[in-house]
Amino acid sequence: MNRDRERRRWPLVLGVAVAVLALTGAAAAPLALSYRAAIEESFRERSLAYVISFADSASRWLCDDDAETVASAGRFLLVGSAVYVVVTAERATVVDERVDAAIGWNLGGPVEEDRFATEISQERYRGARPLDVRVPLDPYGGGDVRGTVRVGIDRTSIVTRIRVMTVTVVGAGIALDVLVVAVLIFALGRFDLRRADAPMSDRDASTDTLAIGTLRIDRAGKRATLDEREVRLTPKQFALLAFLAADPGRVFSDRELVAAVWTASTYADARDVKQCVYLLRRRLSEAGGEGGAIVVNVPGFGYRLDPPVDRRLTGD
Amino acid sequence: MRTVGATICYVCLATLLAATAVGETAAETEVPLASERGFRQMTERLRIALVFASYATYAPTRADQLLHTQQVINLLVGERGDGYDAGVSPGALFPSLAAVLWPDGVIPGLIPDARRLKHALALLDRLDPSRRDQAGRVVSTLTRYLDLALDAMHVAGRARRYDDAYEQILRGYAFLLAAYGPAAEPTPGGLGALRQLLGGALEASDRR
Repeated sequence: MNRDRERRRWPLVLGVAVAVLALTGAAAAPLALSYRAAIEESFRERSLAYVISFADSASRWLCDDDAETVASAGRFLLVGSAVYVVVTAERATVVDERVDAAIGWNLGGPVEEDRFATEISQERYRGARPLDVRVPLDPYGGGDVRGTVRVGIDRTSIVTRIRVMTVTVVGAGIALDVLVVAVLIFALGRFDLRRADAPMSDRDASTDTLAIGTLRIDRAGKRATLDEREVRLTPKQFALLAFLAADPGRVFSDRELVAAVWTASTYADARDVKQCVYLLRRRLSEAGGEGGAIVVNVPGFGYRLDPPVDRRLTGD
Repeated sequence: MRTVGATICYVCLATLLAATAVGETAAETEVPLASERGFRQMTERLRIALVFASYATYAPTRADQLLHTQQVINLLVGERGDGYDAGVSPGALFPSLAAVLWPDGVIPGLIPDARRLKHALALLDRLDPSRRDQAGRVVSTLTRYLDLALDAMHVAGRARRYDDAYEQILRGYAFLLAAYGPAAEPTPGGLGALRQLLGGALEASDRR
């Protein structure tokens, strides 16, 4: 019975697990995507502001005819996350500083001088495509120098951040799912325990006392009587008798009996059933009945319980 | 014995003379702070610090923040200062600026210079006493601004999160800007206000 119940329970647990997993996935995916978009957007804004800041100082240096400082500052940006720094003024390239990996890159043709733009480059640097930021050389206007500043910013750090965040969200989701399923299994287990421990009044009293002929089995009181004489049984014998008496006349196989009576044991087999049946018959005989006629062996199939006959009626 | 003693005396005398000559050469190359040129250099170095602080403010990654923050610290404390990192030495990275801003090759710190400036102003005899006092107060405020900017940059360097560092860099930038205080819009402790106070006296100092 318990094993049957357990077998019935697993699809339920599995169903709940799948549902929880699906719900978590449905909640985590938009969360991860929106967080990713926020990180990307913030990175774009910062990169744009960074390059504007550089362009502003570069335009001032160029106004002072100090192209060397612009080149130095460009080289200095390469120490950080810049991959290339290209400054053009009056249609001439003033600075073209690049990290070694970016030396062969084709950055495309001339760019518009009054355009602020950020695009993901086609080239890869350290496994990620850099962000190509383009701003006018004189970003705040009012200066004498016209030109553009183009800086490639390495996106590896934010790609790593996004990956870490995705793994964290997925991990947290899975942990939550495991927790929910574990709580469900725990709750089901507690429910079963409560049912087993519940007082008589909570249960159907009609099923607690079985009467099969002259055999009476009080399942709550763990007592059995035959012709009103007590049958002294061990817990296993009582469990076997009660199980057979739940459906008199039906033949139970050894496997069914093992599953119902030896629930806690993984080693019990047909020999245990046979021995227990033998002892049960002896106890029934001691109580004045005919054990072999009450617990009947059906060769090749198993055992069944036949109602004991009242000897007073048969005249024996 | 007498010859040996005389030789020692000559060697000591020669060493003393050589040391004096070197000292004089160094003193000649070092630009006096309370001069027009020295003041201009200091203003320009502060402007460069502001440029790096603005790069640090908008740095797209934490690595960039650290890089530019260290540049600002280097300019504030100078080559002999505590916390100076030779790895991002402005002298090595910006040779053309270095030739103008620290021609003798040693990168002076803005904070030590501001402290020395106070003493240098006290020695300016062309400055009338009331202006000297006023200038002294401005320099004290200027030094405080620079100290606060340095504190903020150090905190930014130690911060774990980008946003925490960003807040501190903004603070540092604000203090640097207050210290810069251009002559067109002078701030109470800014170099602009000091320049206005000392105009004539500095020129006289330069001529001498």
